[in-house]
Amino acid sequence: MTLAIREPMLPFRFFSANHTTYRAIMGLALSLPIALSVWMASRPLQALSLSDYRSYQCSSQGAGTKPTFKILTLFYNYATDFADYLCASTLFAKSYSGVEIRWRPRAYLSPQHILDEEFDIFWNRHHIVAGLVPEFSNYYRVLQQTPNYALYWISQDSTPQLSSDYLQGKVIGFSRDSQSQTHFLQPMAALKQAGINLNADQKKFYTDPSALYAAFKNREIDIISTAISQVDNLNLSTYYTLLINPEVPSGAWFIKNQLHHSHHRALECEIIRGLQVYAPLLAPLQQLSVQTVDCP
Amino acid sequence: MTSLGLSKPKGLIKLAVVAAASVFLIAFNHWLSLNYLSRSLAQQLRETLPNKIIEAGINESFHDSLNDYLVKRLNDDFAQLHVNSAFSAVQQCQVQVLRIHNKTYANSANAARIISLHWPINDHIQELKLGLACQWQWPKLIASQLFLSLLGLLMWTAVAPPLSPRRKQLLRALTEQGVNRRQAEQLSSKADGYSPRQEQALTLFLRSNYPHPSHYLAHLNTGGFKHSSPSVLAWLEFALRQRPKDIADAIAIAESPAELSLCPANSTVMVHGYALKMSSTPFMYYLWYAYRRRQNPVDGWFTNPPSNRPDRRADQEIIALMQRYGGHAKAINDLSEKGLRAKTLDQNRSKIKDELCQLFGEELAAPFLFESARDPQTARSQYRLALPATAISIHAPESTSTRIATPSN
Repeated sequence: MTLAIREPMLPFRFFSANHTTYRAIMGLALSLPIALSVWMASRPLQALSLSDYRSYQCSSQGAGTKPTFKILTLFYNYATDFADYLCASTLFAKSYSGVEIRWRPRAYLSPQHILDEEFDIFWNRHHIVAGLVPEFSNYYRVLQQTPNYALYWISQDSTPQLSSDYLQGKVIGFSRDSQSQTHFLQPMAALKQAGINLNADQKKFYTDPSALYAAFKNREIDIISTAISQVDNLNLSTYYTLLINPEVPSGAWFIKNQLHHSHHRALECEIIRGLQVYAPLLAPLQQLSVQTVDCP
Repeated sequence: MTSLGLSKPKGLIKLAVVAAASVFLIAFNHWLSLNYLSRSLAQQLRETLPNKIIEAGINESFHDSLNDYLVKRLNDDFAQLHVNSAFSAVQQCQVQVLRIHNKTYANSANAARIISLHWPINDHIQELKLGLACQWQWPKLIASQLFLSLLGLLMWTAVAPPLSPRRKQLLRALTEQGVNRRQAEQLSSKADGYSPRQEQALTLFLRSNYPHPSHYLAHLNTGGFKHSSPSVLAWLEFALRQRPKDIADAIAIAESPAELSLCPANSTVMVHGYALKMSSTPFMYYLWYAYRRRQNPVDGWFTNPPSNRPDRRADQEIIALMQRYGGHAKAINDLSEKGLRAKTLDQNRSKIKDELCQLFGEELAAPFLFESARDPQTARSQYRLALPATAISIHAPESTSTRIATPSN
């Protein structure tokens, strides 16, 4: 130690060479244990591994080396119920080790997904699927048509009117997703048809429907477009409607052709029975779904 | 602790300091670990989790059932968080969702830290509240912080402040004389606080090369010589010279009062605690002057008789003393025949002075000798013992045999 001298004949104790050294060593005696304690307390956590919250997986009974049944849908609601139904099915367990269901934005589905037959079934609109791969029927076909629904303008203040006078100073809420029929394409088309050009500050765009409905309920926006069943869930005291389109096609569940053989009939029927978990969502649309497979 | 040579109270104090420092460090480490983990978790999650939650809610109209799903998945993901270091005392942690999208799932009572994440959705701030709880490896935490406290104490006690030149000299002297290092440190620990008189005393002691410095240092360390007069130190110097092997005796002599005690039984005087056996006749005159000084505390002077007329009254006093205490017959006869002459008095005072000065030196002896003045009536010299009457005693000295020094004349 260059800072301290060691006295001869004093084997155990060090005497500081001067007061500065002594103060420095005393400072070190105080700060070193604290610094080491701080160092110990600052050890990092193992890297966090967050799973994908846009998908859900379950295992069938007696899962083995069989393939996983893959489903693509648009939103979380009832997705896990659907997957769980299939996983619980003994019939399903004979062919699949489990189910993976993903919910993604409409734009997620790509031609490559269809060509690779990435998903065993998926939900989307006809025109989107046909637009992606015109020959999609080589790969997929419709398993079940989801019902059409009536779309309305909704206001909490007065009956909506498609006139410039009425819309003066009013703000309409839309979805940011330009593929959304309900919250973008249909209302935009209706406005266009009525010859109404809204100012930029009369249009407000929302990330997802829940944000749009919350904003409408809080009166941050005056008008939205949606189905009546959705408005009922908002628990508004009063609201006013104006029909936009009585028959908006909602879309369909598409199934991989490979499954659509006669010996898979029982399996497809099981899937269709599983899709009944969506009944609470579809029933208010007051249109019966169209089944393309005859099931007992 | 005992290996450091600590006295019991000091050892207990240091033990208490280590205990207090350990408790502080344990609490500090516990508090800081939780703070660090919650902060680093918040930092990691802030970058990824809001986006994952937003994506999970895509196309969702209402979040109620999604919230339940997210809470379950997040709680599963956060069920076992490990710290990536063998040095951490954290065994593992869990994070639990307390609140998401304005819905409460658990209360924060069990959470050691709360992590709040916020993100905007269309001008609305969304909040996710997470509760962090950790389990600890308590033996590891306690042992590590105890070790750190001991390390600090070791540094604190192993390194001493710089030595003053005086203490350095003292330590060196002590160790050279074979005193072990620990004792040397203890003995010299008060050296820097010595008064100037103690410093001088220490110099004298060191110069004496007395083989057991602990004896005189123990005396100095308990306040010996702190407020001593310069004459005490002069007496110490004398005593150390006379009693080089008996430090306790030397100290006793130095610290004795400036008193004169005469013991006629053996013609011994005790000067400042030091016994001196005198020649018989000068002692008898010393005794006679002492009696006179004690009998007349205010005055006590005795004027020398004129050179042509001996004093025939005072000679009887001296003769009586000599007869009582075994004075020389020749001296008694001289006095009887010739009476008390000025010359005899002068000669005996001179002998007294010689005997005292020879042993003590003039400086030390002076206060115990005579003072003189001119008798205003006769214009002759008068003499008396310089000490006040109260500082003079006449008795048979007790146990003086060991302190008697025979003047070498």
